[in-house]
Amino acid sequence: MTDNNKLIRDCLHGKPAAQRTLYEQFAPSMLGVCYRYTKSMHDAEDVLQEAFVKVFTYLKQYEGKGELGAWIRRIMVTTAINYLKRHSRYQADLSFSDISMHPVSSENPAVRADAKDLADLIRQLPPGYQTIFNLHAIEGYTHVEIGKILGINEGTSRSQYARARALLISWLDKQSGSQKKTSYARK
Amino acid sequence: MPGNDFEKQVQQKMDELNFVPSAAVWPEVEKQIAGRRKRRVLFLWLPFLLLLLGGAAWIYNGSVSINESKKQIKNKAVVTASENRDKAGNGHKKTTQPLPLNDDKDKQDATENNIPVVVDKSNSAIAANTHFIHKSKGTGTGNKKNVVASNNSNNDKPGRAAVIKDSVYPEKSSKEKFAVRSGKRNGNKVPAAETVDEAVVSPGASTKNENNTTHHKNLDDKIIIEPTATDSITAENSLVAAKSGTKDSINNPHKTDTAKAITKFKFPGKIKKNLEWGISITAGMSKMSNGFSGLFSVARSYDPNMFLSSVNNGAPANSVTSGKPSDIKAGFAYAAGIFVSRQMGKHVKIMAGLNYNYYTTSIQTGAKIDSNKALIQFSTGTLSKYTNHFHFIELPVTVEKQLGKTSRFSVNAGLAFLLLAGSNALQYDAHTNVYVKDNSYINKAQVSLLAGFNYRLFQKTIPVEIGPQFNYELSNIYKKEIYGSRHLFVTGINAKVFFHKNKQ
Repeated sequence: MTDNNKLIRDCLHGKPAAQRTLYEQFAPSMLGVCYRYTKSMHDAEDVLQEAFVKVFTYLKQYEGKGELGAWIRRIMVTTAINYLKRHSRYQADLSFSDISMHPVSSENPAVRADAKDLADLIRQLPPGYQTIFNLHAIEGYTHVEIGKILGINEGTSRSQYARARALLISWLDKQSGSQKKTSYARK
Repeated sequence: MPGNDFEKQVQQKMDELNFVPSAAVWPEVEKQIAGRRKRRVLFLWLPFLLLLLGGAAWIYNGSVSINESKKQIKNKAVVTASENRDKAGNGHKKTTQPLPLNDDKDKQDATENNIPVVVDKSNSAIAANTHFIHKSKGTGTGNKKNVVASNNSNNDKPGRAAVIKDSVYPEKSSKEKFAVRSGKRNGNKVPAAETVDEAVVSPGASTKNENNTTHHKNLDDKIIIEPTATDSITAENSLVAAKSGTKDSINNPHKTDTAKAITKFKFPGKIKKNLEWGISITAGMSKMSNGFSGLFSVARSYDPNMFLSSVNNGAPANSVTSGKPSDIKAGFAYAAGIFVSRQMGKHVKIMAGLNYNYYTTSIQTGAKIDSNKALIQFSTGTLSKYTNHFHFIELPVTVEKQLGKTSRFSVNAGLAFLLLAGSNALQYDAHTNVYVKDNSYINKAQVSLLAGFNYRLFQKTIPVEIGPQFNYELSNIYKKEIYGSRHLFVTGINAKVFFHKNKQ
């Protein structure tokens, strides 16, 4: 924490070395966050770049109350959502329809897939599901908060999440059952 | 749900998700941060630029308002003259009264300026009071500095009017630019006209005795005279006075319309009188000092005391490597810019400008260290000489005082605000015993103290002031908590070239 405080202070003084250090410290994990929200690594890096500019710009607003990593992560998520809203290729993903093609599941299967495979499965979720699943299951946002962030009803968020979860579980079941990865194409 | 095992497992797995960003990401981030920083710097500059522009506008408006005041005075005088003329009645024979010229130069000026001067011969009310006093220097007839009364010799009534123009010639007509015309134009004698300019004499004027007059200092340092005596000098006397006061008087009276002639007066530009502008160039050397006391000593790359203090305050002692940083040697410096100055008194003027300053210092370094970080690093040693460049934009404001009334020497002193525009300076990192280029250790904004001594050359053509100039930066050039007290000190020869000559 003390190291981070010094790092933040140096960054606030505009020291390039400190900024570089901060970037190197957090960029890998933050790129993982960006990766989950986007459909390609190129887009993920675009989000990462945009978000880190915001991090350095608004670093003075960080009050040191929480973890610096969590603060940066929130910036990453917000930037990713804005990126999705801004780019037309993600517009369809965010057009949350109530039409359900997938069953709802309340199972809690063991997740045996590694992080990269799981992230790739999440990225293959249908339109809207991916974002809501990321926000609720991983970031911990409530459906009310998600509704506000995405401009949708709480109920829509809830139902979309339930279906995303069921779909993901079914994919994971298939993956663990057959021990094959053929049905989940990776990008 | 977040409370469920599935979500927990997903969260856990996703926390492990790491990717190494491609190398192109950080340079882009860095570039955008730097761009924002530059914009911020521009915003910081904006108030100072506005201040400069505001100052320039103020100086300009001040000059214009003075001119307007003069015009108002002139108009008032013209109105008074017209009223007096009306009172004197019609049918008065008007004659032109040639203006006495003090010397050949005046005569020449008069011819060149081609300003007609007219005195209503028959109107004693005008003529008797038509006199002009320049700066209240001296009095009486025969004194070319002061009062010349123009009148009809037949009149002996006290004057009433207060129409004055160039009846008095300045001691140095070239300085005052009083418009005097000889009445000649294209070889023909042109009716002289009475015009109004530098001074006004109110009704009841007397030129017999200057003690009878009340002097008021005008905005233009000219004197408005309000005579207190109701009568004193006759028109004849005034004419005699005018004649006797000059050796080159032109006595070619012409009839003219006074009102028409008044419109022909030539108004000297106040701006030209009070404002000067030009370029300033300084060349010399810059050095790093440890404060006023260390002006003549050599500064090291870092302050050992500060360094020890930082070690005791938490830096691990074992991370300190022993190494002797180089001395910081003086280097070449120059500055160039523009300035504008305004005369604030007879011998004092205030100057403001905008300069580009280039300072250098040099150190001895070892080899350049290859690093995968985007940093320029050098080891300590004496392998090569590295020149630290500092580029500053400077806004100086100085006051210059002329030493004596006629002296060509002057001294100046003032303050300047400087903003670092760029630098490649290396800073010594005592922990790693290397030199690093990191401008974040430099204080971008600086305040400096200026002082100089000038000698003025070529006063009659393009004046040049030349002399030694000293510039001591009151602000620490480097962050004080890291490098202690470090100030740039620049000394050199400064030359100011005035493109607009101040007409005094």
